[in-house]
Amino acid sequence: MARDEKWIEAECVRVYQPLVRAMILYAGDREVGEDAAHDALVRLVMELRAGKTIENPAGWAYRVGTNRVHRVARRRGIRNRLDPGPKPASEFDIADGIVLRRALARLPKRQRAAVVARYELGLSVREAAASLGCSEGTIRALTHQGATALRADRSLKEGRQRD
Amino acid sequence: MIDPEIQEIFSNNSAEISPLRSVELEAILSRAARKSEHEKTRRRVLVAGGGALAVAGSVWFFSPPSDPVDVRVAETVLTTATTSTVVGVSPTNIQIPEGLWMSEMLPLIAQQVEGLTEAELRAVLDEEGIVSSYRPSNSDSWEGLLHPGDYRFEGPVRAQDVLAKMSDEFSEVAGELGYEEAESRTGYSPYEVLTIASMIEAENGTGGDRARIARVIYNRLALDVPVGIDSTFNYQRQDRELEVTQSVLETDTPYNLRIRTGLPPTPIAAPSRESLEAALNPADGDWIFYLLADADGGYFFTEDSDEFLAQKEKSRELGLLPDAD
Repeated sequence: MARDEKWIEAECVRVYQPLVRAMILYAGDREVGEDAAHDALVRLVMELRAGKTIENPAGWAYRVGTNRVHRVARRRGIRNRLDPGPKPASEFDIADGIVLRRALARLPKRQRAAVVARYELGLSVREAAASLGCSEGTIRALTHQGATALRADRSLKEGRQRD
Repeated sequence: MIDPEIQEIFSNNSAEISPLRSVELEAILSRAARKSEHEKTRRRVLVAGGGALAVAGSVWFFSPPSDPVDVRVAETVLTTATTSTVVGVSPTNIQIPEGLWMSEMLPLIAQQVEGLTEAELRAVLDEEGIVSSYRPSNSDSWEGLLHPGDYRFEGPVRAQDVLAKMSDEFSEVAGELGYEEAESRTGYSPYEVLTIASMIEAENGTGGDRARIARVIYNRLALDVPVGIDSTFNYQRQDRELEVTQSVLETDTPYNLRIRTGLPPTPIAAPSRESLEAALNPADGDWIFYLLADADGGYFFTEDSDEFLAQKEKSRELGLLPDAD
């Protein structure tokens, strides 16, 4: 199916905000997340221009973006850029998602990828499985493990009590 | 299933993300165009390079690569090559069995990737060209941290690509199994549990008794008696056929687990997922002895030294053990 440029541009605009939001949470860092989202959109445009059918552009770009984040992290030789140190979280940190980013940074990356796909991007189990290239059962298990860890995370509890 | 409590945590995140501005959109669209063009050129150069090599091979065999003649040939082929003549670079498949030492794994990788040498692989590791969060900062060993298995690479493959992928795969598998919680689950660090997994792998490559062997190791560590596993001798001497003689047994090294208590300083093999899982999830039991009890690789476990000695006689009669200890 031929794609016209207008349609491709509209797709970019539509996918952009949820993608950036999810990538920042996944990367644990605003700058890295934004860069990854931009790179993923470049890829998406290339694929769409080549006439490839992409069922769920947001999910597709999310996967590309997560790979991008790993490459950046590997180049910098670091795993989690956020120091989950003892400094108490401020109201601002909670509203700005910094506490959540830190809590997510403590999850193994596949759990983090699944949790962000489900709760932030709002992908269904089937969509998340297609996006991350694994079975629906794996998505369920990873999301469950991730959610369990978040529920036990004290920094997030403090945040909720303050609300 | 969506957990409302978690959904709420995500909803509380009200970080502002501005919509995609038109300058940014422009940048994305033009970067995509440049990149497509770049990739097309890259493919053509690869093909042209192959063509030029073929020509150089038959005609200008004696020309050094920097010779202007070769450059012209390459250019000619490049300008005449069209997308219809593009031949993709064939993918590379690498298969790494479980239980290998680094000294066996690296040559095996080099063997399976055209143009890659063991020295290049070693250089990447020595120069910290890849990282693993599971590697202790004071260690210079990569043993156990590159996951075995089947890997596939599209296009040209560098030493770094292979090693990074294998190291990432290890982190991924370890993460899935819960190695980040190793300390709270077993009382040992993730690296120590990995070391135990490597010992299980070396002892019991194919059998189904891994979780019980894991328990024997933990029980012996807890009693502070030597773990008594012999495959660490093979590792230390880098000799699969090593005969465990009296002199081997008496030579004190950090890998002599007949003399020393505790764990060896590094893993002694690249463990399979099954061994990694068993090391983190040992079976319940008080056993401190185990030995081969049938020809199919089944083991006998006990905490009683008399039972152990009796079984040892039986196993020896079955021909499952060497004659002398």
